[in-house]
Amino acid sequence: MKMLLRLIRTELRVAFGISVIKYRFTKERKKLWEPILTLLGALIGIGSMMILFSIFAISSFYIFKKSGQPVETLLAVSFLASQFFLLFFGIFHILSAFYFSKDMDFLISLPVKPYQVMGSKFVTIIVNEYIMSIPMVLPSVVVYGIGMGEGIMYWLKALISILLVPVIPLAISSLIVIVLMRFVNIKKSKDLIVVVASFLSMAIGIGVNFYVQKMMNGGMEDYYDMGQIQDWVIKNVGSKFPPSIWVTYGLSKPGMEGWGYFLLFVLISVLLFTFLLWVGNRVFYKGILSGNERSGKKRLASFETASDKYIKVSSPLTALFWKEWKLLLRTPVFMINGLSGMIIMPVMTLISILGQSQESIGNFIKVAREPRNDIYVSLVGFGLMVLAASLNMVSSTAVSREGYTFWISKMIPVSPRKQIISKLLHGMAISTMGILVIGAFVVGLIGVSVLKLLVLIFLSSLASMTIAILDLIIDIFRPKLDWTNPHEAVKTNLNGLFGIIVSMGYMFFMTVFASAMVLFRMPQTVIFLGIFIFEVVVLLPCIIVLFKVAENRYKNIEI
Amino acid sequence: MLIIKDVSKSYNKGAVKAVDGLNLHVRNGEIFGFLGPNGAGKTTTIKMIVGLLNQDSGSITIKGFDNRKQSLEAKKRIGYVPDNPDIYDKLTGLEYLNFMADVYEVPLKERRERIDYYLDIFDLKKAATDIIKSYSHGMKQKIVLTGALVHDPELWILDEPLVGLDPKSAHILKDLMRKHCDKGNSVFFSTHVLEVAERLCDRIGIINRGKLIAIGMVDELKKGENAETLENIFLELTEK
Repeated sequence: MKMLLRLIRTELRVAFGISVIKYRFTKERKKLWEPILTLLGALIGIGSMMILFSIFAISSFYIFKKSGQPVETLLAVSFLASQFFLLFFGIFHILSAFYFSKDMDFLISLPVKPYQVMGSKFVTIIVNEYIMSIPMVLPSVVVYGIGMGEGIMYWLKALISILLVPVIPLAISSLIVIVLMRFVNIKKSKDLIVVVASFLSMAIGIGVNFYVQKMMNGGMEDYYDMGQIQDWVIKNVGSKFPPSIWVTYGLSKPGMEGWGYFLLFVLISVLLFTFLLWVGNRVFYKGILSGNERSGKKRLASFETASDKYIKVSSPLTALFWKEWKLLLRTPVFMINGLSGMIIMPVMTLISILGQSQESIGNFIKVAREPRNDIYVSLVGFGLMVLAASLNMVSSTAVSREGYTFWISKMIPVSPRKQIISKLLHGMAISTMGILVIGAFVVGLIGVSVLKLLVLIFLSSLASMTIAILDLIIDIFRPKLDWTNPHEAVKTNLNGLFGIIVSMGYMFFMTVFASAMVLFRMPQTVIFLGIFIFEVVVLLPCIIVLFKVAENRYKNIEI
Repeated sequence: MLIIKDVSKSYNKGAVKAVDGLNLHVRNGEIFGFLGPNGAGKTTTIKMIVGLLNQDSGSITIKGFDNRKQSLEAKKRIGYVPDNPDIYDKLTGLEYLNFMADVYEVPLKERRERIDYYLDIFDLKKAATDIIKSYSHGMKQKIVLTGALVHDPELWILDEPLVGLDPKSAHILKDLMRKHCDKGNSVFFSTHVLEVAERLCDRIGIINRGKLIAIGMVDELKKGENAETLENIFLELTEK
């Protein structure tokens, strides 16, 4: 047990950079702003999620009260949502922490038991997942507790429940993963596994979205229906995953019944965790070691044939640009983060359209095609294009993704300006894919003219360039280079979040500007020209700042 | 070839002096061995030469080019191999080498010849089309070495280049170093293997706690008391 606690402490220190913060605080105060800024960013991100879920909780509470529905539905929905979220998306963290982190080779060699290593990693994942689960659950628990005037015991049980929420779903995901990995040669199929798991999760997310859309359109006209839907969710989905119901009843049922459900929830959490450690002790290392065996992979080609194919002359800029592509496409975590925005956004748009009834789709197209609505449709199409272009973390992690290989960028005789241009072009190439996909939608649905489509593509490309530049400035300013697992370079890199915040700010001001022009009933050509001028006015200083920052940072980032 | 003038570097706001007023001159045609105990400042010095770290004061010039003010010109003349071969592990060996040749703007004929030559002598041809992630430490070391030499730089800066190499590859590298210097070029390398330094280097420098405590030819250094071997000199100087 002592060893397990020691390992947990070390893992947490590594995962959250506690030692680095301590070091900065005591010895390198000059750079203390970095962790402070990171913390601030995290607080903004978590805070905005909390606000969103609080609004949901408060409104749902009053809706249930008003319609005479059982108010505990609110608790059930929150617990169910967060546990489902953890069950599916936790698989990524488990896969990467258990099997793909570089410290595993070192940990295996230590005189510690497999369950201790796995247990420490598991607890670290749980703490990590609190970032998502607490904002989802806490507002409902607080709103319910205050609204119902609950006593001290409720709050005590609530605290324990919130802390235990991730245990059952993550333990189930872990069990699936470690048993599966026992029989799969992970090193050989590693990339495939990550890609399949990612797209599966995406498909589940999209599926749930589609289902909810369909259900909402099935007659959710008033509060009563919403209550019914949630009641339906609990009875049908909750019955297949009872821990959410146990914890809900544990908190809401009075007296012994409530305590019974609560203790059942706690007991099952503890038992499942213990069972996971027991299974892990038997199969965890076997899964990792089987993946370390060298596979007799066929070589791609003979040297002579390959050298003719690969040894070619390109300019440094071209070489850097293609290197960015190769590394992105060959690292599954990078690829998924880079390209999924382009898939999710159009698919979500399509789903929200298909989720409507035939009649309303027909009406929508009819209204959209009316000449007087032309400008609104164009601007919405333009907005969607810019949004699709901004939905990736390619530019906001462009430097971070280099990690320990950043020494090469510092070493090569290519100016920082040229290096950053290669990253900008790469980011824009991906954004352009998003723009074109949405463009195809706009043409397919509304049937805008080719000329207008070209204008929209041009304008959104300019906007996406500014967004990519802003993202690059953020990342070059504080790149996360000390990662051991590609997951850390994108998923736990707050530059992605900062990038989204800045992009949203840019889009907000552009929307205000465009809306003002529409309100003043300016002709369409003038509106497009106005947007173009707005974009250029923002873009030019951004380019200058990017080059300045790149020159400065490439020189001064020390590795 | 390489002139280091009054170079200092400290960490933690000056609390730790990693390199303290270092002065060095590596001449054309010489192999210069840089020795010192762990944490003495060898890697910090090397990283400052190649531009990975910025010196707090002093200057470093490579073939007359200041490595801060004319950094691109200076970099073109260096081939650097770090102590840890962290490179793009999702590229194949050949893709990495062609990338390095592109960024150093090596013409097609020369790059073909050099890549073919180095891969052949390091016995890497068979693995050249595999991704680098599948390489052993030694293979990575050799591919980094090849990448660093593909533009035929005048000055080789090698940080512990022999670590992880098999005896045959280590022998080949030592041979290459000698031949390179015989053509009037220079090699600046750090090592812990004193025998190698003794046999291979034209001159050596010993650094301890950031300060250069000895510099000269091995024979010159041996003239001191109890200095029959380089090991004795090293121990005597660094344990003071």
